[in-house]
Amino acid sequence: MKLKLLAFPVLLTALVSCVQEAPVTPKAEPTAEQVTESEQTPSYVKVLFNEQMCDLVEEDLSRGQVRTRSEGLNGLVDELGIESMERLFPFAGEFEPRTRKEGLHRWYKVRYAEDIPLTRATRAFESLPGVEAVEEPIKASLTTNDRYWGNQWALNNVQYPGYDVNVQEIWDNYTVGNPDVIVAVIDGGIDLNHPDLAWNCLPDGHQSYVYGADRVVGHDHGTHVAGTIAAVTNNSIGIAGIAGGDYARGRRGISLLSQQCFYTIGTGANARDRSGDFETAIKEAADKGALIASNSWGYDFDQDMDGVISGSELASARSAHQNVQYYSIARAIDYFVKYAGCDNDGNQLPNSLMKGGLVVFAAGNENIQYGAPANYEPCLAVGAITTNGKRAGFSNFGDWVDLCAPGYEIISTLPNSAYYPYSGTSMACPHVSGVAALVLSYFGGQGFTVDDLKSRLLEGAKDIGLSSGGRAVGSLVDAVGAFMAHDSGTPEAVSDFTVSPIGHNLRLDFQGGGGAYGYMALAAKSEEALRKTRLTMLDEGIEFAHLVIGDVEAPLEPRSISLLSLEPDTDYYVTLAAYSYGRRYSALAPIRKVHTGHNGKPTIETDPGETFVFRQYQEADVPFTLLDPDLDTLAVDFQTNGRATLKAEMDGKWHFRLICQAVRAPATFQATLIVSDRFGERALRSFKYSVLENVEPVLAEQIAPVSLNAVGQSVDIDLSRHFSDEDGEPLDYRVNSLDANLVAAELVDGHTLRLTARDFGLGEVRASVFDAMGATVRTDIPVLVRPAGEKVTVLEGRIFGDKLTILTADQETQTTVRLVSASGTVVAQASGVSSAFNPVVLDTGHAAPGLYTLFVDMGGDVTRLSVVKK
Amino acid sequence: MRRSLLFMLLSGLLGSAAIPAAAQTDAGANEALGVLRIDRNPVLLSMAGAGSAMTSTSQAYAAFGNPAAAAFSDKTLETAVSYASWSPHYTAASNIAAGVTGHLGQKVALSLGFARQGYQGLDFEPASGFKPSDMILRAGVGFKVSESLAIGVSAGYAKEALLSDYSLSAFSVSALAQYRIGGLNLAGGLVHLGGKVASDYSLPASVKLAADYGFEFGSSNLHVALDGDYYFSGNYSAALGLNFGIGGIGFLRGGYRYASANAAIPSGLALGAGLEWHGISLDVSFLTASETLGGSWMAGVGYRF
Repeated sequence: MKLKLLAFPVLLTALVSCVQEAPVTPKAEPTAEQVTESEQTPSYVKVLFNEQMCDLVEEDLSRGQVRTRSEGLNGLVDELGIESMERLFPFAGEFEPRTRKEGLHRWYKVRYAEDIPLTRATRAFESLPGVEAVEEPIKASLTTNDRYWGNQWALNNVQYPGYDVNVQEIWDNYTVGNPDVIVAVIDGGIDLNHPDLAWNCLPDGHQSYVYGADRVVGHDHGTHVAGTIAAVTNNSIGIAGIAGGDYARGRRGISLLSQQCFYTIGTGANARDRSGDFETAIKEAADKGALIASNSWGYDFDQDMDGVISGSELASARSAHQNVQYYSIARAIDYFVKYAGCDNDGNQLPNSLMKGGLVVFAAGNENIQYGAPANYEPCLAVGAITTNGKRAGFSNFGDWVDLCAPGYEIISTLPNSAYYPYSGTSMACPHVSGVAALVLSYFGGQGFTVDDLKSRLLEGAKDIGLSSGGRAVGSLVDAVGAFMAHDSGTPEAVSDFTVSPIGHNLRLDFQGGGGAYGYMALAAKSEEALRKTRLTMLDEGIEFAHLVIGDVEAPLEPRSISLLSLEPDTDYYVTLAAYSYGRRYSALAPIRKVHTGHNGKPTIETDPGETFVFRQYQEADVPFTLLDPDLDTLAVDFQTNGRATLKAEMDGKWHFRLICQAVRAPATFQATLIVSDRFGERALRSFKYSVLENVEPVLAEQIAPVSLNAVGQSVDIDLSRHFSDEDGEPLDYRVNSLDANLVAAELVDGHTLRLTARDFGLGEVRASVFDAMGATVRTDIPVLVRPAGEKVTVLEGRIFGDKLTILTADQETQTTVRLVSASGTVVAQASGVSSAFNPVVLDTGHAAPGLYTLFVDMGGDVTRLSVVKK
Repeated sequence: MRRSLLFMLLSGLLGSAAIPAAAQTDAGANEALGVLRIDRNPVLLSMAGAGSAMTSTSQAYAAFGNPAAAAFSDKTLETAVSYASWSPHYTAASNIAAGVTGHLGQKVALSLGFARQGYQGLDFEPASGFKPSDMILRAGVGFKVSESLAIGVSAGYAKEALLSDYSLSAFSVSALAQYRIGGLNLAGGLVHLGGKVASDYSLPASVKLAADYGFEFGSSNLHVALDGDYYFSGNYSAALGLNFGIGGIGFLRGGYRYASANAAIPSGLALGAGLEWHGISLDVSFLTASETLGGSWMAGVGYRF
């Protein structure tokens, strides 16, 4: 089924209103020097090809051509003046496998001539075989609902207690954010130098997805949203962000990633926003490590710009609402939800705090029951409330709205060190993103999923009477509620336990289970330190370890926790606390004093047998086993009089790979592996390894002659598939064209030969390979350039002299060639096996000047050419 | 220059991989303007080129062949035109020819001939719209020295337009003598003597000998004709033809031609038929058993009185 996303001009709007007073600090527009921009937005459509068409286009475009082997598409190249085709979701490097698996590689952004109407381009692509969907571009504008200056009632509502996000208790007792949690702001650019934001912005990775804006520039809306999420807290200036850390205590908040999709062009009354590729920004946010995507934007259906959605506009809003699951934005959201924090197979990465990503969307400001794309099921849709807990009059509504949050007169950051209150669901959305970031900061870890996060946010939300009825906007997001969701109450304390030193580690044995979600063991050199610390936010110097039972129904039975890597020969005070799902901690178990044992010396075990023998550049495992009685973290060093390197990796246990470097002559070398723990205890192991004589590279698979059909056409040959070196060393590939007028030869990505036709004829390209020792092998590759469909090529042209060189079919074929005069005389002939690269050569020196017929019979496929002897 | 470079490259590149020269035709000297040797007379073409010495058939094309034989004709005026599809599987040419021979008194015969061979347009020169062609214009005179002996000379101009800016041309002269005794006609002479073409290449000139003998069977007759040519280039050819006349109206013809490899007209078999009634003749011929000329055909009409 072909889908046309927008049957009408759809605008995208940042869902914001702002009050009328001037900002605290005057705004400054970006200057021409700040970004490179073009006033003219190019004409384009987004096209989803089917697999077959996509393969064709992909292969042809890889040769640098707009024209492809698709006749239909080529027809549009002329009809629409197609200038370029590029992937909507660009090549994703290490994430390309999952990008293709989800079909995102089949979306293309096709730019065409500016004078072609959008509707014509859309219809043309809709009728093209191999096209599954066509979407018109999204244009951007900002709508504002001006209100009044306020303060941060959203975080601490003094006038109407209870109608805020209830974050203070979390800051005090649990977390103020974790820099490992990356929140992507899919919006206007964040002012990365804002003094209230810079501390919590990622050092790099920010990107613009707006045509004409080559880097991120601070934007009112995007900077405002970012401030709500993670403006630096407790820094004596500006505002507090929900997950903004604690500057005074040196604790950073979560990390902000700016994925710029709005960019303001023009100034003053002429200022307007240009929108970018939202789909790409969301998708690539996952590839950059973001776990939460905050989206304060949505489709705008106010075509007549009268501020009211009615008639056909309402019908359009309903259509988008009902069909959002078919749009390219839905594919990007799916990708983020599935792959954020994961590898290409969708498995959680070892250092990731969550499996999958959370996409938060503003519900919209039109006061209607529709709100694409926020209503797309995997997203959290956020409506807005006012100071007194009522639905904001502008907020879209319906049972598809998952949560509500403060969205009225919200003060936050603006570019150039400014602050300003805005209203809108755009402001409500980052409140949910911020609370989600706090939950993830505290509860995130291996096994924590996006469903866990959503469950906490939804289950912990406070019902303020807006979650049902005709104009529902869901329950109010509540940070404490999210932290306490599913909580079973404070468990009982552990009454007794034993502690045993094992080296400088301690093992605690106790009866555990029976209502506790988990246990935390603590150790400190001071008993007072143990008694004074808050269990939810441990003080410096407290060593701890967790045992997660995970099941409050588990029976009471013997359990143990080990505290590792304590200082040897030291007195420690040790205790235990049980905790609930919501991290409500029991009282401490009785504190016990214990003395840690001596530090054990690490050892190296191996059974290398004879000397290790390697080829040049061979990389092979060597069987060393490291043991440390205290399970200390070990440092590994390697010394040798040769050129080998040792790659040591810790994956539960140590793995070693010796990588040999080239040596001039076969030799045996001495090497030593040195292992030390953090207390300076060392173990050494010496061994020998021999490196064999160099083996020269070889041409393992002959490179077939290349046939090109058009000037400018290119073909890539992966030389690494044809050359090999038994030593396995890195090879140096070099190429040069022996007939540069005919064919250009260049090396791309180190080992791929790219041939580009420059003129018709037969040429030759040389490919050479050098190994690390300078040994080389080379091959010459015949390259034929002739028009498509031409079966026979006369190398000398059709006006010949003393010889005729006849290039026949690309493949070897039994061929008969005759040169026949006008009167019928066979002047010259030949027969045998020939091809384009093994041509027939006729001696025509004796032939008189005149008109001749060149007859070429290639296994029954006959070609006749008129040729003239001069 | 680029093509030359390419070829040099190719020679080095392919070396012995190319089809060896030994498999090619043994290339002897090759003459220019070989189209001069194409028969324009459908009667002679029906006999594979034999019949130059025949005097019983129309002498309208004498300017292309044997002007001496025309001197023995008892007609006042002989005219003919012909059309041929020549070498349809190779050259694919369309030939037209016209000839006229007039007799002055009892001894002198004057002949004129015109022929044009047209080819398809050159696909490598499509923009010009140019089509190659050959044109031949000849005149001859025959003089009957005695009742048994005649001599004749013809001369002509031939032009071959090969490219829009390139053509070849040449003058040629033929001189033959004819002797007849009883039913036997003997002819011999030099054919298409001329200068060099493109400075190095000769015309398809030859020493020609021809004989014809007629047998009478009541109202029918059979002519056996033999023509042989030895070309100055070293090539040679011989043609044997039969012309069977039925009641002076109908004719069945056939012949075989054997030629050396590079002779202007290759070996092959010819068949033909003709009608003649009250001086009006209609003749057709067809060539077969020839790799390059097989499928060629010619048709002609003539009138003589």
